[in-house]
Amino acid sequence: MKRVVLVALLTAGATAAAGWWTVPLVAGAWTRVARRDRHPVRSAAVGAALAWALLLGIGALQGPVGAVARRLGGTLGMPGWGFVLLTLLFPASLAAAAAQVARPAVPR
Amino acid sequence: MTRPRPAVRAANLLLLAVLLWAGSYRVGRLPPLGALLDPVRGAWGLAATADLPRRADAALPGLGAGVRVVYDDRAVPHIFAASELDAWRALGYVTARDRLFQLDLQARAGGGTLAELVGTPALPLDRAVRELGMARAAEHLADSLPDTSEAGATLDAYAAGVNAWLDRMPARALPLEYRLLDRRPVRWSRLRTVQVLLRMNYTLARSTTELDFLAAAAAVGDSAAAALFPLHWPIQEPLQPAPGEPRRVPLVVPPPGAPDSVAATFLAAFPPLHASRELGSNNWAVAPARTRDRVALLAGDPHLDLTLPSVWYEAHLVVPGVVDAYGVTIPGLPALVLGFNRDVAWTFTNTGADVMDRWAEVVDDSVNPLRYRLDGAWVPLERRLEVYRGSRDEVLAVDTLRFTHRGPMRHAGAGWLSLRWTALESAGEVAGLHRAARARTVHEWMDAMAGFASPPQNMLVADRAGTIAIRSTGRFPIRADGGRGDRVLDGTTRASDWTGDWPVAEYPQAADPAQGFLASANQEPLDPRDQSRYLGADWPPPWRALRINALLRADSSVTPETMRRWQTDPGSARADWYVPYFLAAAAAHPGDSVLAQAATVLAAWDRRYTAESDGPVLFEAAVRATDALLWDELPPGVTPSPAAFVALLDDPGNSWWDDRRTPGRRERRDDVLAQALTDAYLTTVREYGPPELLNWSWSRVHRIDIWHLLRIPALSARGIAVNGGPSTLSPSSVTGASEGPSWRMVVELGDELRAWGTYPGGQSGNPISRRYADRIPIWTRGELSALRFPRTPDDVGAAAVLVLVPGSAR
Repeated sequence: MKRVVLVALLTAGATAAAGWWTVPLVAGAWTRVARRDRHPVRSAAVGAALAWALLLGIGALQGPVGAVARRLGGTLGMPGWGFVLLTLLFPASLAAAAAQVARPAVPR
Repeated sequence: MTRPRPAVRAANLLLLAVLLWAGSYRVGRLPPLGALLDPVRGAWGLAATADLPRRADAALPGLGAGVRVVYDDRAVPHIFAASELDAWRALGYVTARDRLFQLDLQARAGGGTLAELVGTPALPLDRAVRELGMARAAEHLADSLPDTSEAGATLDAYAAGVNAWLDRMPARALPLEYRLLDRRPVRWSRLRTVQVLLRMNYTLARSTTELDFLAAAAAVGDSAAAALFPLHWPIQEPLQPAPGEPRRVPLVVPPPGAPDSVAATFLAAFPPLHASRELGSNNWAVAPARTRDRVALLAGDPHLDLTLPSVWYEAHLVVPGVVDAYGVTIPGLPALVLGFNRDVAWTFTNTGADVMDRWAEVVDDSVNPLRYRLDGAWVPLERRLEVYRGSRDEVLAVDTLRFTHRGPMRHAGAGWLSLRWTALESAGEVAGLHRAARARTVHEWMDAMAGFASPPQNMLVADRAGTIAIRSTGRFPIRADGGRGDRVLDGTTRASDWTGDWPVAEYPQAADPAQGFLASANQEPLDPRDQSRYLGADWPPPWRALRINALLRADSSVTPETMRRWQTDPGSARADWYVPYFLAAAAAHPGDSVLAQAATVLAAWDRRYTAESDGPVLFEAAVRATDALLWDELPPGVTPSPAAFVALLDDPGNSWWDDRRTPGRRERRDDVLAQALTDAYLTTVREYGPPELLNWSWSRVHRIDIWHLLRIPALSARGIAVNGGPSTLSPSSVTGASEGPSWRMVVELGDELRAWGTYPGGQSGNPISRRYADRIPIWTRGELSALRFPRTPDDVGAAAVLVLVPGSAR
C-alpha cells in the first residue's frame, strides 16, 4: 500500500508539473527502480489512477467538477460517472502498459 | 519478478503506443484524450475557472490609466475607466475572458474560415460567405479605417484587450470547445471585428427578393410572380404613423401564367428560398401622456437565432464626464448596440429594406470569363483566389471569385449575376454608436446615428424629457429611373447602376406623434402613399405590428410591468385574421361531421398561443394544409409571401384556389379552406388522438431549442415550453424552433432612469459555469431582471472585481 501511495504522489506531482504524458514515464521508472516491489505493474496502474483521483479531488475544492463530468460526459455520449471512470482508466492503462514494457528483460 | 514473455511485452508496447497516440492526437471524432482528461491542464481545469475570482489583477498593454471592472450579481461587468479607449480595451479583455470561443467563431463565420476551426462540414458555409464578397470586403474595410479615426482606434483598442487575455490566459481556462476540436484561438484584430459586423449583416440585411421572384416567375410567369412577392402588403400598419390605420391596400393576384424561361436560366444555381423563420424584432415607446407615471417608456426585443452562449453580452461603461451607458454588445463588436445612458434609451428592429441588388452580366466566356460587357466595351473582371483550408491547414478547395465594378459575380445557372450590397461598403457603424451612447436627448442621438449605414435598423429612442422618436436608419440606395431592386437588372449598362442614396430627411421616421406611441415590428416602414422611392419588397407580415399597436391603443396608462407583459403576449393578429375565413368555409359546407368537429375546436380557441391551448395545434396544421393545397402551381420549396394569401382570402373565385390535381372540378376559396381544415383535423387526431383526450396542448408540439454554437446537444438547452408561436409578439416557428427574443429590455425614463432586461443564456461562455445558462428560466417565464446602473464602483454591490493596470500582459 505504501508503494502505491508513493507512486500516486510521484505521478500526481509529475502530472501537475508537466502534464499527462509523464504518467508512463513515472510508471516505467518505478518499475526499473522499485526492485523490492513484487507487483510493480499493479502499483504503477493503481498509483496512477489514485494520483489523478487525488488531483480531481483537489480540483473539486476549486470548482464544480461534477458539472464538468456531466457536460463532458454528455458531449462524448456517456454519463458523468463514465467520464470520471474514463479519466481514471486512462492513466491506469498508460501506467500499466508502460510498466510492462519497462520491466527488466532479465529475471532477478 | 519474472521476465515477461516477448509476446506480452510486444502487446504492451502496442497498447502503450495506441494510448500515447490517443492521448496526443484526434481519433475519429474523439479529441486528444491526454489533453482532454488531464486533471490539471485538461477540461477538468475548467471547473476552477467556472466562476469569476472574487479579485483579480492584470496588466493590460496600452492602457492610459488603471481600469476597475466590478461585476454585479448577474455577472455583468461595470467598467470604470479614465478614457473611452481604455474602456473598450477593458471590454475586449472581459469579453474574451467570458466568450473567447464565440468571438472566434463569429469572426470566422463572417470571414468564411469556419472550416479551419470545425473542418470540412463548414466548407459550404465558408463558400457562401466568400462568394458574397464578405472576405474581400472585410479586408478592404479594415484597411481603410485610419488608425487615428474613432472607429479605427476603438477597434484596435478592443483587439488589444482581447489579445491581452489570450496572452495571460491560464492553460486550464482554454475554452472547452477548443479542447473538443483540438484547436487553439487565434489573435484578434480589427479585421475580425469587421468580420463580426459583416456576419450580422449576413443575418439581417441579406435580401433575396430577386431570387424569390425568379423562382416564382420560372413557374408561373412574371405577372403572377410579381403578385406572389408584392411590393406592398395589403394590410398597412407602418412604423411612420399614418392616419386611419390599419389600412387596406388593394392587391390583385393574377392567375398563373406561362413559365418565364429567362428566369429559369438563372434559377438552377440557387437553393429553395424564402424559408419562413421567425427572425425579426419588436420595439415600442410610449410618450408620458399615455403612461401611468407620466414618464416615457421604451421596450425592445430583437428576435434572432437563440444560441448558447447568447448573441448578446451585457456591459456597463463609465468614463466620467464622457459616457455612462449600459446595454448589450455583440461579442467582437466594441459598441453598446441596444441600451441606455442616464438620459436616453434606444433599441432597434431590423428594417428589412432591400440593400442588395443583382445584375445579369454578359461575359466573354461562359465558363471562365475574364471580361464583362459594359456600355458597349469589354471591361476586365477583378479576379481573386479564395483558398479554403481545413482544420489541419490542408487545402479543401480553391475558387476563383470575379468582381465587376458593382461587386462579386457568380455563376448562376446558364448565366452570371453580379451583386452590390451596402454592407460591403461601410464599417463606420461603431463610431456612430459611440456618439449615440453619449447623447443627452433624442435629437442628439438621432443626429449621431444619421450616418449609420448597415444593417438598416428601425431605431427607436426615448429620453427623460419625454420625447419619443423612431427612424429607419441605414443606407438606402436609389435605383436608376426610379426603378426597383427586386428584379434582376441589366448589367451591360451603367445606366442601371445605383444613382445615389436616400437623404436622411426622407427616411421613414416620426417623433412625438399625436397618438402618443411608436412601434415597429419589421413591418413595411412607410405607407405606400408616403413612398416616393423603392425601399424594398416582400416585407415581413404586419401581424406583430397590428397586435402591439392594438395593445398600445387600448391602454392610456401604461406601466413598465405592462410593457414586460406585452413582450410575451400570446395573442395573434394572424389568427384573428385567418380563423374567421376557416370558420366561414366550414359553415359553407354543412353536413360534414369531421369538418364540424374541427370548426368547433377552432371556434372555441381564444386565438392565444398559450402552452396548454389546443387551438394553435389545429390552426397551424390547417395553415400548412392550405399552403399545400393552394400553391400546387409552384415547384416544391417556393412558398409565396403571406401577403398573396391574404389577398386571395378576399378573392374567393381566383383561379389560384383551383386545385389542378382535380381536373373537371373548379375549387373556390371555401372549398380549399374546408378541405385544409378537414385534413388538419384528421392529421392531428392521427398524431395526438381525438381532442377530448386533451393531448393537443401547444406545448406538446411547440418547443424551443437553444443550441450550443457547435450544436452539441449536451451543451444546449432543448425542449423548452414557452408561450407564443408564429407571428405572436414572442414569436417562434411551429416545430424545430431555435429563434426568438434574444434580448428583452424595458426602460423607464423617469427622474432616475430604471431598466429591466434578460436574455436566454448567461454571461459566461463556459458550459461549466453557473452563469452559462442561468437566465433561461427567467426568460422562459417572461420575467425580467432589474438592471443595476450604478454611478460608482462602490454602488455595484460587487460579486467580483478585476483591476486592470497599464503594463505588459505577458
